[in-house]
Amino acid sequence: MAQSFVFSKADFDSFFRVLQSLGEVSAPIRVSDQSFAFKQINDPREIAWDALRTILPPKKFFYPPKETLLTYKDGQIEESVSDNKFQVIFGVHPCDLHGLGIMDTIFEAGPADTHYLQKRNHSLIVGLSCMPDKFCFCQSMGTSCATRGYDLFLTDLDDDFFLQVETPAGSAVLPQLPMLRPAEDADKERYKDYWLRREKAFTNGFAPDNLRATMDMEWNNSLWDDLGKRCLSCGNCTPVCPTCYCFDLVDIASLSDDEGSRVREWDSCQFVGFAQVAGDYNFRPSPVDRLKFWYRHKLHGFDDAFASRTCVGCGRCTVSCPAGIDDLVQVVKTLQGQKEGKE
Amino acid sequence: MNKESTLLPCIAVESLTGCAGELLVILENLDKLLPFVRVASFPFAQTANDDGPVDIAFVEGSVSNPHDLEKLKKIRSKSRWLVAVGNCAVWGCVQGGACAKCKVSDMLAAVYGSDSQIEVLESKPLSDHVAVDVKLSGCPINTTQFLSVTASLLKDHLPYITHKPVCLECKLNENPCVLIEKNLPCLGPVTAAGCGALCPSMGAACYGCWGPCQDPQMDAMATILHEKGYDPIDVINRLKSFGAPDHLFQRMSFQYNQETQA
Amino acid sequence: MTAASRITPFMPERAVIRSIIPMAQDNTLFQFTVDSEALANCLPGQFVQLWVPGVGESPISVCSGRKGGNLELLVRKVGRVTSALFQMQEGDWVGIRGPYGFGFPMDDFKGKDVCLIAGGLGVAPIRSVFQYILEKREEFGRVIIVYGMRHSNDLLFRPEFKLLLRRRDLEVFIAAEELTGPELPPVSVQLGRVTDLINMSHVGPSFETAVCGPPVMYKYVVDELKKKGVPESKIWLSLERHMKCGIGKCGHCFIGGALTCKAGPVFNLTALKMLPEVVECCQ
Repeated sequence: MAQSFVFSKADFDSFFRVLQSLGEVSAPIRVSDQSFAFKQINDPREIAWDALRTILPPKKFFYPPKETLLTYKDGQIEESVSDNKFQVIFGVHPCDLHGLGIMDTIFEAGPADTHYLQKRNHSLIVGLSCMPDKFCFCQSMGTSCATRGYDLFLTDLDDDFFLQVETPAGSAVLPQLPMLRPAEDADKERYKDYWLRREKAFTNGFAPDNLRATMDMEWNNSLWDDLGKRCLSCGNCTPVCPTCYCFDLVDIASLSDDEGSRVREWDSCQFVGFAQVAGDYNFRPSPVDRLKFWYRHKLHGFDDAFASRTCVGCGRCTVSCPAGIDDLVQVVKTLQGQKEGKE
Repeated sequence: MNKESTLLPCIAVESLTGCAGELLVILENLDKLLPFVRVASFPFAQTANDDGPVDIAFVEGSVSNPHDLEKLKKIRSKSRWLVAVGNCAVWGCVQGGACAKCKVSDMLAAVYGSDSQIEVLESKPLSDHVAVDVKLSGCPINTTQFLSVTASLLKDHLPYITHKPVCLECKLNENPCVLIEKNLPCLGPVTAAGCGALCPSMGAACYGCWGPCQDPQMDAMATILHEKGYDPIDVINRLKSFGAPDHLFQRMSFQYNQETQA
Repeated sequence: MTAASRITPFMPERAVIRSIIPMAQDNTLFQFTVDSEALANCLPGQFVQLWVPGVGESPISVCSGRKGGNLELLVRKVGRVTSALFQMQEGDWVGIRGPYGFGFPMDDFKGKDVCLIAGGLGVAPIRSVFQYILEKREEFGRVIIVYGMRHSNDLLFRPEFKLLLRRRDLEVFIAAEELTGPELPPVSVQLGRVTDLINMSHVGPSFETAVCGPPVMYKYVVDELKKKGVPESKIWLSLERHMKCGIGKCGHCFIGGALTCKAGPVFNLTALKMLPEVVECCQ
């Protein structure tokens, strides 16, 4: 049975110092009135406890936006190996933990992506409970409780934190945490009470039962054309998505002969060149083709390694879309035929 | 092949009507290039220039008068690769944008009087007059892109240039979106990246100085800015101010035509 | 770099260009010397990622059947990477990763009648199929090869087809939509389309069919095959998408959710009909 503990919030500083002794700690900090970002921090007071969604999800720590895969010089090809620095990612909410779990599945699938896994294996993820705002719909996506992707998980019990240990890496830290006391029955009651309250706090969402079938049936719904007309093809919905993993591979030539590197960069299916083949034939020439494609990956799922819908209900696309067309909940409701939907 | 026995590839760096911003970037990076090239012509930076054939000609500025055009044709005829560098050369920049708004003869008359002897052409990018092999936009150009394009061309390879939108770089910088959070008229979604999302990173709106990204959705952009309360004429002027060509605005459902012509 | 120290799936194998054989127009056959077992034994219809250092990678179908130690790629000069390859010389090295994807189901084809249909450059993967079949000709039933092209001077593998046309255990049909070029090719090329040839051939319900050509061709070929009574479950199409990574990660080659690089590039028509976004055949 998974172990659980409780510690007082007054002891959080010493808890944080222990995390710091493991490696670089990153946590959500505030970057504007409305936005947060995961950044490396040295002081627990920098943590934005009210952060729900950061601009970029924590995938960036293991799958950096730009990463050298290979270098070559004088006919010798060398793979680029990341420095094995240990990273602690603190304050990851259940949606993002599910997101990491999906990324793990994609990159673990054979042939495994060593660049991702190396960094992932040198990390400790500390999850954190959260109360939903009006954009959160993880409840509808079945991702509102963390089941994977983390080593330790903290639930906020007013004056205390409830600590769950999920992995051997997580339990390896325990001896260094003298502030912990085993969770008692009363603590467990408080814990369950928190999650029940949270379950009832959701104001956004939809009934997900027929989602996959709906996405199939409504492939030719006129809603897509309405959304496509507004789509800027700016690609904002993809870097902010915890489960968008598409990339471009680029050669960086060097001025000297026979030397250079091969780099991967985050790409977006929303860009016009994404599905273009040699000879300029484009399989998704217009914004609506690309938008539908993205929605299908998120809400219906593809035959990739994860093989299921990849949306985790974090609401990042909804708040990041300048055109306001990534309100997934409204789109689903409209496709499902619920009358209060927009358009 | 013995390296010493071969001559270094030749480059020329030439300027038409522009601000010399690209020339400065190239000059700044010349030390990195010098081990690999001979600079046959760079009138901005050296006094001894020759007119001989070159492997790569980097041309900055737009074609704005007959002299520019003559010079450009000469450059084209002597170069193996012609690279348009900077927004002026690639899109026509502000001088091109101005020509889209009012007649060049009217502008000439307003500034120099109606009896002026100055010869001018409607300001256009290089590719309107000659074949351009590589278009490297920027205002000014990005050093890394410039070096990597040069590296490719020196090996006779076409470089990989994508022109993805500024939004991508902006998101990767984890900037709060100024279009969404501050309702600023940011053109990031339709502008080519490469600047590192400089303006939005400073909390300002992108004004499109790198020119359009690949397949810019001008109609959607105009609609969204208009919805945010911006005047349709201002929206279109903003979108066109750095030389975005007219064909990107055809088939627009956004109602602006009568208003801009009024 | 030894094979054992490889961990990244993006590591290519150094392959030396053994010979360069110009075919027709902008098409050239490149033969590579490769060390790895896997690359030397690519299956018909599989593809490899060809890397020209400093330029980039391009997915290219393998056009040689099982031969061992020798990999052949037919390349059309159409983009940056292929243009760079065309500047290279015999003895130069490139990187090759793979082979990737599911090719044509050769084991299922065994003991059956087989019809191979190629349009234009699509003849490259189709060649890997007939070379494979001809190595073990007795294991297959009747074999029909249909090869259509726009102009008669686009004919690829001319000497090879000349020999194939003489074989009695093959029925070979070649047609061009237009006869062009200084002289008529020395093989019997007819005027017509791929679909005309299919109609002319004796392909029927007993045949397994392998199709590869430009995206616009498939719909018409599929219609014609159905007219000839070939069931959908016996129609195998090799599709083109932009496989950037080849290993199911980069997302560029999704067709309505299926990864061309892992589930394809060869798909059965019944599977394709389940997918949206397949422009090559009607839903």
